[in-house]
Amino acid sequence: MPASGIDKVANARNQPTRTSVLVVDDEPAFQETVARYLTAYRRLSAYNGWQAKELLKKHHVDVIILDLNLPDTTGLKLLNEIRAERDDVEVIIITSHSELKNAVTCVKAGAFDFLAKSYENYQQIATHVERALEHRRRRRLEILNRAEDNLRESIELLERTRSPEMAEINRILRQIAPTRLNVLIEGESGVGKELLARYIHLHSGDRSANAFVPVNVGAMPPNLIESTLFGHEKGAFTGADRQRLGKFELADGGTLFLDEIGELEPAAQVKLLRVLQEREVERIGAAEAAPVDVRVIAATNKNLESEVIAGRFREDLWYRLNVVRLPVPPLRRRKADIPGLVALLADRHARSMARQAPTFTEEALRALTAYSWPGNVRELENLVMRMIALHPGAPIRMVDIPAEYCVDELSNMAVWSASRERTTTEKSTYAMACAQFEYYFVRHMVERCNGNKAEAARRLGVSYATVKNKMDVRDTSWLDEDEIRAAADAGPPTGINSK
Amino acid sequence: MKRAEQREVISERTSIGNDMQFVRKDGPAVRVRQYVIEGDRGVRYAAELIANEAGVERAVVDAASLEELAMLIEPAARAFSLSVRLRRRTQDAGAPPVAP
Repeated sequence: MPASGIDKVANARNQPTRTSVLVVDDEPAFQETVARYLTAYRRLSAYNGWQAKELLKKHHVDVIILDLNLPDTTGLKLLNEIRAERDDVEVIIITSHSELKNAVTCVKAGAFDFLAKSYENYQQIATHVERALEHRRRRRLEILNRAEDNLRESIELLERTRSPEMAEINRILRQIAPTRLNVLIEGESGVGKELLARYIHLHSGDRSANAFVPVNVGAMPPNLIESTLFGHEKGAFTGADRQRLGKFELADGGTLFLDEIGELEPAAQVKLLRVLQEREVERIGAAEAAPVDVRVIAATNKNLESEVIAGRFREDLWYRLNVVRLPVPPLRRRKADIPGLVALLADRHARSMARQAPTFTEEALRALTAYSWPGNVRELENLVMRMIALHPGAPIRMVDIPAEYCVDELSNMAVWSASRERTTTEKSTYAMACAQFEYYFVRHMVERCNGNKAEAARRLGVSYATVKNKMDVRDTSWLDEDEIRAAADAGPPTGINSK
Repeated sequence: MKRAEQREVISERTSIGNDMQFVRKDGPAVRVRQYVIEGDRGVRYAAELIANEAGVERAVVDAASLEELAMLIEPAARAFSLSVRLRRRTQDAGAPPVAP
């Protein structure tokens, strides 16, 4: 019996091709015949079940062509053993015993295809291998992309931007999306870094047909990061009872989004660097690296340059991520986007919650625009969802919005109103602004409580008398909210009291 | 990060071809130097991008072949230049884009 081995069908540069095919058959004549039609692949040969299992342990294999009759085992038994441990390999059964019963049994056991040994099938073997690879790709996609329904809608959020900075980011993204350049997205939590990554993936040409795999590095326990990203072999460590594909292999042909990359452990940084440099990934415990074609989009809310200087992030990895580094501005620096975002989010979440989409009044939108949004788009989204749940279909007024989101607008009103008063000193302007803010805030709270001052006092943690006093303090010369807004729209304060 | 490791990687580099300079109207000029790197795992190719605008910015692009590198250099230099300019504008605008 010939010894098993690797028949390296290398290209002219002596570089191995990407796809590996393991042919398991005890007939040398069959091996030779099939080899003629598999020249486009890296081919491995096994003449019995034991050799096949050894090769699977040592080498990266994409497709197995398996005979049902083997000297030391049956093809079906071997298929069951492979399926129990691995889900990244497609198996094509090829046999001279091509009864329907065998075919059904093998397909039920997890074989991709069942072929009779015939000259026609030998000629078509490469086509069957390609179909198996396509099937594997679709299977991975099906698992990974179940939650992709809202993707195209989310892209609208980005394209509706009125911020010059975001428009510039859009322009850069459109230029680099079809290339395989790595991208680093910087920005505070909740600014939509993953959305940008998905946007790049969606516009990345052929790559967009493959998987987009998001991984939050910061949310993973440090001891699981390597295993999750790079996968592991069976028995690589205690508890590794079966082989597991890493995220890189799941994203093969597509895009891997590494969120919070600044949290990556030094050991994992080395491995990531190797993937970026050499485009191959080594599972923990594997004897051989597997080639991967993955575009990496990383994101961070840290200053990675400082991390490099502090020695916590590898400089060579940093240079590879620094090719396209995009700073996403926080929502407070692109307030012109807020009304559009509110409308889109309201529409989207109302549909998903089977409610009627609410409209936001102008004063409500003013309040939301004035707010600083430390939690960025995520915080805005949460508030919109809350409003849909509490006020389905109704117009959302400023009084419907929780007070903490209105503080900025109320203080703006107070400052604006105070600045219009004919005052002589800064001290009196300050006192007036404070008094007016208290008035507007207390009145807002009373309105939220449907005019119930006792309830407003309870919520504010003050006495009923305080609420009453703050509301009574209003001078007749003070502008009411509508007048302030009309004046604000008209132009800057002139310092002349209009009332 | 081990500084010794970095020096070792740099010392393996062998420059190929002449430096290229991409001059852009909407971003800083980018100087590109190509390298062929021979290591234990075979030959690979890389290009170093350097932009000099209010400080030196550096980036590295890897490729499996010289042809792929040639295809990547132009879009990489363009995107690198644009993103450097965007970051400068963001910094000029005031608030830092990321948490300190």
